[in-house]
Amino acid sequence: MMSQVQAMKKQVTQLRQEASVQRIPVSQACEELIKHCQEHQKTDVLVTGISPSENPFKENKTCNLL
Amino acid sequence: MATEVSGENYDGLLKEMETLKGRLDEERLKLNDVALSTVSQRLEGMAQLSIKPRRVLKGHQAKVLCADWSSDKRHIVSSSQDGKIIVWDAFTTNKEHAVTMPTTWVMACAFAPSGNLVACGGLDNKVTVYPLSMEDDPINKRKTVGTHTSYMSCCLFPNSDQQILTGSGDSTCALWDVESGQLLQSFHGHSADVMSIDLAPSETGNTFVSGGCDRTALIWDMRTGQKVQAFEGHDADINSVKFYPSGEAIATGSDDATCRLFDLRADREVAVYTKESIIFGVNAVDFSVSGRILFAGYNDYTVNVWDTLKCSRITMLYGHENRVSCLKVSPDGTAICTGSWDFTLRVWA
Repeated sequence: MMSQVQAMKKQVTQLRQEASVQRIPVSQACEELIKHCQEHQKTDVLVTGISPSENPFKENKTCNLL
Repeated sequence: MATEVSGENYDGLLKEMETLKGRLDEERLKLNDVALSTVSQRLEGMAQLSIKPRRVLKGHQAKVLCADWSSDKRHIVSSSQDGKIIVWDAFTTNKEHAVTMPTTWVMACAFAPSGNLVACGGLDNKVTVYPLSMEDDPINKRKTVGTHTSYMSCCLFPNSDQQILTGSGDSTCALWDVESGQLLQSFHGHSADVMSIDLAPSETGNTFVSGGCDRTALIWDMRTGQKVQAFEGHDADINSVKFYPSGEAIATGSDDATCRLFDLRADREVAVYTKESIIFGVNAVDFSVSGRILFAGYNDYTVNVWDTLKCSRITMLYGHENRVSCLKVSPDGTAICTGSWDFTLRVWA
């Protein structure tokens, strides 16, 4: 019983802490997520595509000219 | 900071717990004023992506379970059910190192930031490091750093080669000192197996996230061992967790066939990535460098490519012939690596 009360106390302490967290509205959170994307999207090559000459994973074309 | 709980009364504590839980739900609901997909309506969609299959890495003789990129953006370490870890040159597809572990189901592997060391483990309950050198067989220099009381499901090096963070089927996470093998901090809070961990992308790197079979994602302070935040919402095991590149949110992938986005400062779920046609579980998630794309590997052999902000699926990556078990975007964001139960890894760019 004692350990049960101890565990309970720990949970209550944890919940008190979680309940005291300062929150922002979802609308504001979303704006900040969007802002981060917009600031970095230009250099995100998986989004923008990469020029073949800069792509280390581009297939090496074999030359067919004799 | 929360005050110490002084009461000894079981019923009193139970009542306070219920009250606090109610207040938490209420607060979180109150600030849920709009959906991410609504806010992002003004944004342009992404142009057609040019991501193609570029490499197939063949060599494992059983299911690939985990993979990680080296900081040199060229090498990949993978671990498999066959008990092997392989270090690949992803440009040439050559195998540079192959190590046979004294266990099968090597569920986790990770490159150290220097690129000179890999950590791995699984059903042996241990995290073992292998220095990579051309002169010496890594097996002669292997070192057991830590031991859990159940399987080790995930591991990473936070910030330096000196420490390893692990997650385990024993429902804990642990921070180990590589040199001494000392347990520096343990993290208790999950009520079931931990399946995935990820480090917050800040300079200081003192926060990490863990997700597991209790369907919960937890945010931790690495220095104190304290649980900072908890996110619930999934209807089944969480298999993968990943920080959004700004560090302000986390993505999760679950056996309930959905991915979700939880914002740390809104303290709640802000998006669900799902479609009626998607009925198989998610094993791995990762973001492109800006965070705009969320890649997710599924049990139906596909990788779904989601627009993180518009919450819609852009495309799918086909190629694997069995479950996609792991998935990682390269450190410079130019490529993604996927591992599968079809014994292969693939690089897409």
